[in-house]
Amino acid sequence: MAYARSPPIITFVGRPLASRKGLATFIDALAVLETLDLLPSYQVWLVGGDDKERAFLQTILIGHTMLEKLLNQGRWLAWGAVENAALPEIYSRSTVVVMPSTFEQFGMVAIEAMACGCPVVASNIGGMKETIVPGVTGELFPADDSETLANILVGFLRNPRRREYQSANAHAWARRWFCADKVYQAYYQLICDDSRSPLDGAVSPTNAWRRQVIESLLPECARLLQQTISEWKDCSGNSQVSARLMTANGEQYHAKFLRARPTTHSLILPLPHEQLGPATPAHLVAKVEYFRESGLTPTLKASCRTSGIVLTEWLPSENETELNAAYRDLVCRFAQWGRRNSNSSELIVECTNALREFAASQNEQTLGALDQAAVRLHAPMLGGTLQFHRIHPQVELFRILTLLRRSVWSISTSVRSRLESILTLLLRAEEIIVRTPILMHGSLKATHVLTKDGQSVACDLDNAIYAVGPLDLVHWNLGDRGIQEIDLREDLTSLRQLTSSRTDFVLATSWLFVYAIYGLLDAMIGGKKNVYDVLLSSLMCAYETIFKHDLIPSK
Amino acid sequence: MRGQGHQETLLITRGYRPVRIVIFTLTDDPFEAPGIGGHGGSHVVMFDMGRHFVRAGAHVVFVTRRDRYGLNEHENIGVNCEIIRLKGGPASEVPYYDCGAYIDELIESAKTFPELGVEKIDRLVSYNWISGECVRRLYMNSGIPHIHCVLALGRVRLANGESQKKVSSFWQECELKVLTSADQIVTCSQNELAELTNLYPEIDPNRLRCIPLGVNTDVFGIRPLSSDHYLRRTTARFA
Repeated sequence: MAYARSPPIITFVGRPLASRKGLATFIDALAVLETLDLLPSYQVWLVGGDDKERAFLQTILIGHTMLEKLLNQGRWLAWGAVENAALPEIYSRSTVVVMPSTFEQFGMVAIEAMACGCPVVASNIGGMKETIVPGVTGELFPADDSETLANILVGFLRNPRRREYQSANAHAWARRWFCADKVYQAYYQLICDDSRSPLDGAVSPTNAWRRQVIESLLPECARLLQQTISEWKDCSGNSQVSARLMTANGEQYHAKFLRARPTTHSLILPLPHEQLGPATPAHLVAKVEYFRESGLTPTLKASCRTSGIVLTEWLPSENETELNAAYRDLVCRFAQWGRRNSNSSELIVECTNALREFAASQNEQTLGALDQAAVRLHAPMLGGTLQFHRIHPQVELFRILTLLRRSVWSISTSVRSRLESILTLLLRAEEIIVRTPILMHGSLKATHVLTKDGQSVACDLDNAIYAVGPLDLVHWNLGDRGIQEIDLREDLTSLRQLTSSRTDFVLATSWLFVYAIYGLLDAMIGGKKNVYDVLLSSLMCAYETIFKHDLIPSK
Repeated sequence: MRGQGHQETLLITRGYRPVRIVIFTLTDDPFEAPGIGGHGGSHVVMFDMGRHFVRAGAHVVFVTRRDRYGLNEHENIGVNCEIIRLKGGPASEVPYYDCGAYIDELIESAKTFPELGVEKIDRLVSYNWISGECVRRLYMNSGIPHIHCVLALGRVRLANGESQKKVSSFWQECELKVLTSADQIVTCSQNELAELTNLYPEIDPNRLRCIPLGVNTDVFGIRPLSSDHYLRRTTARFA
């Protein structure tokens, strides 16, 4: 079969000159996109409007310094009004549908697009707050905020697989809740029968989505366990859906429903296509299976790489008084398990050498070689899958600084300038520290520590990673606080006390800043304006923190 | 033994005559194509909803405003569907909020159609305040159940900063009368329901329902081949 790759398509469907449809915001966002570097070429499709409206829009573009090239390069296609029956074809060819409306009671276009498997990026207003599940079937952004819209679109353009990740979700979601037959039957019953609607309505889209995922996969769980499931309770975290299952004979299991999702890096960074990660959950299940014999995790009862189901025994949390000892024990045992695996030893050496070369030259070529070595190092843990991993915090600081200078994100000049000076200061703190990468949990915190037969084990190994420096210590110190609760000043003070050498402290500091800056960029491309604002204000005060902790050695 | 579908049909046919549902949608002609001028998603909603009712065995009469010359005042669309286009204001598209000015004319026009007589109607559905007010005035005390679907709420618009010129006091007066008189009020989102509850304390919360809008998943679905596939790329065949 012959396949050809089409450029990503950003589509707007609606009456273009109805002011509440927010076309002006969309045009502003396109102007922002045109200023960015390292962004793949894309097309814009506009559906709706008569000939006069289309001509008027063209007039807006002609003479616009940034947007005229969209027209000249044939990347702007105004379809005008099309038959309803043609819309599914347009939606299914679109990478993403944009709805920047300032007022929308419901937003039919969003449902139509999702039913066709197209994710939707919409203003966080009216009914769209309920019809779109952020991060699952699309994204929401504050109305009129063209900068945030542009940044969200950057994520879709940098990682075209984001559409694949969200497509099946969007389709399943729209069919479950917004199928005309079900909806209008509910109306019909109300009209003819005066009975209450059988539709319970998506009060919280995220919760409704989780419930939908769990309910759809329960039969498969029962088959894998060969038991009847009598009860379940949603115990999902932020990123993946999970549940506590009770079987008919009184046993309890933890079920994790792993779904492929784009990693933050793949949306933020201009990565090579082969490092973006796959669109299936098989590699995530493989990662859990990798630890099967390690004794570091709850016993794996069953797993399925196709459906993404991972079933483990249900274990109680570790005793609070034992937590610090459990932390130290787990860090050592993870490192041992990472070294024990014979496949990894050569790859670890290869990665360390690549790191040494990068430290010596610090250029984009050696950075690329290091990235490739890191990808290969993690492949055995992911069942052979190639995916980008960040393994060294100073390398990440260097990467972000380089990209900031190349204008790959839409960030205001003042913020860019401040971030640049913070990153430069941090990179001056110490030469790139060359150490062997060590296997770590990647997100170790008290709630991830369980007890089994008197020994500590860890759950949620999705972020397990080979890394340089005390990454787990940074996470342990952050605990259950969300990214927006980072307090650089306080956290650095604690890390100073917890680390035993200056190099460890520099690495821990660098990891903390990497975490905060990636969090900032993630919030930016995810439309999480409140998180972005909090992190930004925290980072803006970083001069003082860097100075206070003597991070700049006097030379 | 009767299947569930059969029982359902019996329930709605009320003897030997199908249930007659009259849908007042004065600002959204369900047979106008969306995407041009003022025609948007609500037109499609009306169309899909009416079609579902007809398929379920009801007789549907759409009542809309004649907003274009050349359109028939009354048309039969199949056996169990008809559309009536009332005269009121110019035969051209006008902003929906301006349609309120023609309510008296629309009501007078409605009285001339025997199909809209009280004895011919089992259920009344209205879509937005202008339609709701026409239904209220035409069928007050008739005992016909009236289901009103909210489309635009005046107080919400005002709270969102829309001008008094658009959200006139007449709109607000009519809207309140409709919301307090209709037997059932349907919102399409929990957000709209919350706005209704917060900004209209006069309304009995027991009459509020929330039912989302839907799409025809036979039409809107994942296409059979990848859009990168040569067949889809080299053919201009849509639909």
